[in-house]
Amino acid sequence: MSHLSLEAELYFQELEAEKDAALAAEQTITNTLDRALKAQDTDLLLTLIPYIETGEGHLAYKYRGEIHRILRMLHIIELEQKYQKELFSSGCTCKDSLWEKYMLALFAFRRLLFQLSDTSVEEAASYLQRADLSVFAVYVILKDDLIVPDDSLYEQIISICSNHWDSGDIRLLLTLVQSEETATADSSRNDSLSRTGNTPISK
Amino acid sequence: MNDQSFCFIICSNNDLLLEECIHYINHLYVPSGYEIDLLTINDAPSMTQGYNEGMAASHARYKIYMHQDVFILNRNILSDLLEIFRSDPTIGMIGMIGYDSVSPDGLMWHWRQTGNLYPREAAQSLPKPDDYRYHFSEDGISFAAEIDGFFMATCHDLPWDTEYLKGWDFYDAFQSIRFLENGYKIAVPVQHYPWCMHDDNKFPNMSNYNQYRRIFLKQYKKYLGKHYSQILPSK
Repeated sequence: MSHLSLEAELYFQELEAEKDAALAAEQTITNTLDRALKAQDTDLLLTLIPYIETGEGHLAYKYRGEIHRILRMLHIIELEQKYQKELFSSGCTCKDSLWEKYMLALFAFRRLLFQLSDTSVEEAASYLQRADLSVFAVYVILKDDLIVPDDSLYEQIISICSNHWDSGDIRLLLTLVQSEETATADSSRNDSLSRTGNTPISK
Repeated sequence: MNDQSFCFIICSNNDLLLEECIHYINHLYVPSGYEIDLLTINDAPSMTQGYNEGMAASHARYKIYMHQDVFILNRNILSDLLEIFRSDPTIGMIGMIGYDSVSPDGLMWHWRQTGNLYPREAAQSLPKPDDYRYHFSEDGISFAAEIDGFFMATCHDLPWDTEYLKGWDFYDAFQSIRFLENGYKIAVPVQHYPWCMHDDNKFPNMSNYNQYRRIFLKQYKKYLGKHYSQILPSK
């Protein structure tokens, strides 16, 4: 058996062994999200961060892409709570509504970035004006999700969100973006010095 | 068969993704004299059954089987696909990501990849979709043994395998082999700017994948490790 075939066999054996626990963890995450959002209990909601990062929930994170986005949302809410901003979860009464809010924001950002048509851009802007997203939500989604933002996208978002952001918010976003760009430049320099391989199974 | 028609065939279980997917389809430039159609199959029992249903229902010569979480960024994709199909009548299928040989372990992405896909990270900003134009004569294509199932454009109808495939995995590998065995080449355009974004949420659901991988390994044992040119029937 070749090295690659052996790796694949081992991966699928591990997956089979952990499948039930991963599904149970995913169900726990869903149930907790539904309960916490229905009761608007932010403390309960945020207990999911350690559950996913260091507890039994890590198996759901390991095998289910959806949990990566859930964790991202929880980190946004954690930051918003810490800095006393309107929570991303406000108005969401269950996991599905939280998910929808996140995806629609992501879709809107992409529409602004790709500029397919005036109507497409206007619909996106209109959604973002209504969604009342915090600087943290904008920054985390653009940094971590499947979108490669450029300067013009940030300018558009600042212009759209200026009706509910103050100058401190705008300054904060620009600072975060600049620090990210500096970190990325440093990391690319390091990466060019020592390139590592891909994970064996990830598609 | 309507030679002047494209049909998008999409199995869907998520309206949110589907609507966004269609938003991008609605922004494509349609070549003069051509029409486009869209068939969505909701709650199909399996990908191959859904695709066969779509195939039977459409008279379009050019069928594009794609996932609900694919957003097409190359607005000229339809004319670009036409140009590639016309360049070589033996090309039967076009994908966005391909592999020139069948990986010995059945996991296609373990082989060297051709094509392109919207990235998670980029060292520099990407051009806007409207600022990009594919030029067949300069950019070219590569040929593949297998293509990724998120986007599969065909100009010939070959039924999808429902004998072995009852789920949502490996239909792309099976169909690729089927096209090659029938003498049709599979092309992947060289994309300096990715033609599609595939928002598959980073990790595919692999829980049933191994079952179909094993079937693939058994069914196509003779092709494992083979280059596409070794699978095409000799003339």
